[in-house]
Amino acid sequence: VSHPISIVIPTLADHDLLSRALESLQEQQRTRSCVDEILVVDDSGDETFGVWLASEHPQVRVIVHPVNLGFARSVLDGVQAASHEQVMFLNPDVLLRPGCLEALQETLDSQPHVAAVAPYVLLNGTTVSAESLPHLLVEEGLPRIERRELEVNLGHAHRDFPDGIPVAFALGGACLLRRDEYLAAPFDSRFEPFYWEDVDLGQCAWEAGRSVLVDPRAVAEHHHRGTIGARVPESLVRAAIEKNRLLFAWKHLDEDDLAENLHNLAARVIEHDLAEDREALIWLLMALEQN
Amino acid sequence: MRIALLVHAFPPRSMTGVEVYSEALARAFAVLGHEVEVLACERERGALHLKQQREQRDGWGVTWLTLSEGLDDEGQRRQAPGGVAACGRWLDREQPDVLHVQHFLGLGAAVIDEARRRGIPVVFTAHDAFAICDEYTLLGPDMRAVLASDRQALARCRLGRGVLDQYLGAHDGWLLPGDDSLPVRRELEEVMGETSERVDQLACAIDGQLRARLEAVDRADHVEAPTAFLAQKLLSAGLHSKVHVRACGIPPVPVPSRSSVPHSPLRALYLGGYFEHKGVHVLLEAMNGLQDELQLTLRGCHGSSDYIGQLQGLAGDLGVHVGGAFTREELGGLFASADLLVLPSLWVENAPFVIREAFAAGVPVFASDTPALRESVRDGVDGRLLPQGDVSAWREALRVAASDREQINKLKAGVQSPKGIEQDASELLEIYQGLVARAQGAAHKRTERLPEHLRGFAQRHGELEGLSGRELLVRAVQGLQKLASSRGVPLPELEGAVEMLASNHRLRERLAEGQRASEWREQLVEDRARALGHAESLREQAHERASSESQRADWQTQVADEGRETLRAARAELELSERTCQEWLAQLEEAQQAGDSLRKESDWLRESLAQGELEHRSLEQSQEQAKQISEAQQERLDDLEHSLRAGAESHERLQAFAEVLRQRIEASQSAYAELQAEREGARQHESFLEERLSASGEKTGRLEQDLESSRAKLQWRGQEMRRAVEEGQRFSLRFFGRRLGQRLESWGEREGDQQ
Repeated sequence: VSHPISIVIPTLADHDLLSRALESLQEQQRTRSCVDEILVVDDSGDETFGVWLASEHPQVRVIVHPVNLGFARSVLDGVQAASHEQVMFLNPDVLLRPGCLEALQETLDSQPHVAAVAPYVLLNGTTVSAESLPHLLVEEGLPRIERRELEVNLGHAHRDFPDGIPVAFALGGACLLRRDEYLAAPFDSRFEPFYWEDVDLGQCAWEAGRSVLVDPRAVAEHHHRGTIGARVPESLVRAAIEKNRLLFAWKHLDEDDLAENLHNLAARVIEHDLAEDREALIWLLMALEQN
Repeated sequence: MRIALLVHAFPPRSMTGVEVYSEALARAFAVLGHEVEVLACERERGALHLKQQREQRDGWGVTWLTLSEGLDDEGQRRQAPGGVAACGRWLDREQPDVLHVQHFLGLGAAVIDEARRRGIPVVFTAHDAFAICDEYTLLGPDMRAVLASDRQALARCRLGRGVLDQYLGAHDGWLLPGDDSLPVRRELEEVMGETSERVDQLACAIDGQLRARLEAVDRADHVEAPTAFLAQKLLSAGLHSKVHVRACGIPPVPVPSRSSVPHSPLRALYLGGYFEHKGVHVLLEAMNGLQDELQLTLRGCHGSSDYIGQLQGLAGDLGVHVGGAFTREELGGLFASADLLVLPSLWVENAPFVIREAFAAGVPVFASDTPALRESVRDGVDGRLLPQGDVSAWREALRVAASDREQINKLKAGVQSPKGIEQDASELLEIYQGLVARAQGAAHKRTERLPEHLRGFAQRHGELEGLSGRELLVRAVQGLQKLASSRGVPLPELEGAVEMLASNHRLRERLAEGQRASEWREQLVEDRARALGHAESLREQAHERASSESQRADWQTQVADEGRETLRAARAELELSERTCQEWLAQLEEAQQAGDSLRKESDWLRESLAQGELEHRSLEQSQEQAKQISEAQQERLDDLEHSLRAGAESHERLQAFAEVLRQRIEASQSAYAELQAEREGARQHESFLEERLSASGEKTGRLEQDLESSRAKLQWRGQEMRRAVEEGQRFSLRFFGRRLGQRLESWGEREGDQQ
């Protein structure tokens, strides 16, 4: 028997995007035997957005940030305000296909060791699944995310992984987890402003003996409407990614991998300097400062 | 503040005004506690191109950028290939807060954009007219004034420099007017008066280059010039930026104690380069006759060898020594032993440092009267301004100065201390700080546009971007060491490497240079390997040739042996032949007699032959002509055939047309015949009608006559009848009464009707 979920949607006052996301959630409600809670956390600082939301979608709870506090903070505020035990992180550009929430909840309910479960995410509604099944590799002491190649029958459990496909982490833009567990160990602030925080969350779960799964019975579509790339210079985006990759390595690598990482970095520092690659040195310094 | 200076050359390798000033400025900034890095070019043939080598000076650094490629190419002399990118790498390493471009000769004005792209504000000081014109003295190679706006003239100047290069090896030199018969002068004159397509094309190319240069200067954040004259030149050339007029400072000139009384004889001093446009020859010519009254000292750090030769010739007669280079340390002593400085320049000049150095030493200046120099020397107050190139005027002014000690004393009293380098540095720092604050404000605005949660991250990123390469390296290594230590990971000792990389010697640059040198050597090795391969193939060819020659020698030996055998046989044959010969001699005499006869015949035949040959040649010529005619006729024939074919086609068309015409004519003829016949018929009918008409006429006449006659008859008969009637009436009345009379009347009426 299904029980209600709190769905946390961080937004930047994109009316169209949010309307479509909410329509997709209404569709979900048709197959649900309970009413889920929808919490929209708006980071735009646009006061009129809350008014619009209240009039157009009165069933939605709104949390308005006067200034943009970022993804991690929005999610945290949403989870803190959530009324239900399970919370779904949902980016407004992710649309859930029918039965998605049911399937995710069933997986989470039936497997207490599962820390988070994510749907199988299709890129832009096609059958190309570019974002699901992330797999973590460590090369020369540096972590790298790769997509795991696995044939999936959409809407059905995988024959080799009937309980769900183990993945390195659940995408921060579409995953179901438990509120209290998340509040006990939310996204690590060291990974601010963005990127790698969900990878870290997943890794922490695995390190704690928990699992992170993708349930192919639950399908979602990611209609990319990237907000970061449009608002932030590419150099900063890259700096955030590379800084967080290093922070992730230093946080999670085992002794041998860490030693390799640090030795390689020591050599690379000299190489970067000789090659006058200042950016790489800046990423390293930013990671060192935030470590 | 971290200040970067960029200059085309630098002491001690080059000791002229801008270079010495830049060095003094760097030192002044360092003394004021700022970090200073200088990028200076050095040109060295055969050296590794774009080699960067940092030299640590007292509290500041200078990086020498070697330019070795493109020194012979006109465009690349002004903008070395890869120079701008090398400058960018230097900026990346040094991360200055501000870049002050003193002169961009050799690198190009694009260095301004290179800095601005990195968010580094740029100050540009125009020390000469190079920003608007390659002829930075505004003099052509023929010493004639040239306008920066006259691109054709600039093109001719460039071609003229090629001529000087070719004849004198003095590319950036000048040629004084003189003996016009010299090939170099003749050719230079030709080129300087040339109007041709190549001048047009070159002018077009120069226009593009100068526009780009000026646009880049326009993008500098602060442009200044030391004189209003030069500022005006820049603005006239199309610069849109405000040009700030600000005099440069000079380093202190410590002058040993000296007497305030002028020397006897008066001592004049010339300091500067020995180039034609400096007008030293004018000075020497003016000195002619003043040797006893005036003592002239010439000291110059460099110049063109031809001109120095000329000067030595002139100076030798006057007992003047053409002195060589001097150091900054000597400067005070030189001024102390001089009563006046002479500056007989033949170019427009700008703001010569030497004038202010003289003033700093309390020495008045006699200079050429140009608009720019009027801004430095006040005539009659702290010096004299004399007509440019006017030997007589200079001689007279020097004579007066030599004889009138009061004038020199008065001028000395009028000299004011110029701006010192410290004051200059302070003024510049104020300008730099304003620009840096503006740049930081712009960066802050960029950060403010970001979402709030990103601002701190972006700001820190920006701060780290502002660190020099050395600082980034040191901090990164220290941070890594700390991290490794906290995690118990032993790291190799990096301090030494970092120290080497970040030290004064700049191992990093040397490694980079080493890498480039290694690539260059690899290329050299490849070239040598190719040369070796070529030599090897030559050796093999030589070996093959030697082997072939040996075989040939064997063969020749064999041939020689065979020859010797043949010789023996030939000797035997010879003896036999001698005998035979005797016999033949007898026969020969007989034959000679026959021969004489034959010779005569032969002579005749030869003459005939010669005649025949002449005729043959004539025939050949005729044949050639005939051939040409034949070819021409053939061509004409071809033309005719072509015309014939065209005629035939026209003929056919005409025939067809003629046929149509003929048919039309026939039709016309038959129609004509019909018309003729009709006409004949008509004519006959007309005749018939005429005849009938005539006959009718005649008949009518006759009838008329008959009628007339009948009328007359009738009239007569009527009268007769009436008389008869009257007579009858009278008779009837008389004989038959009334009845008979009526009958007679009725007869009379009938007669009248019939008529």
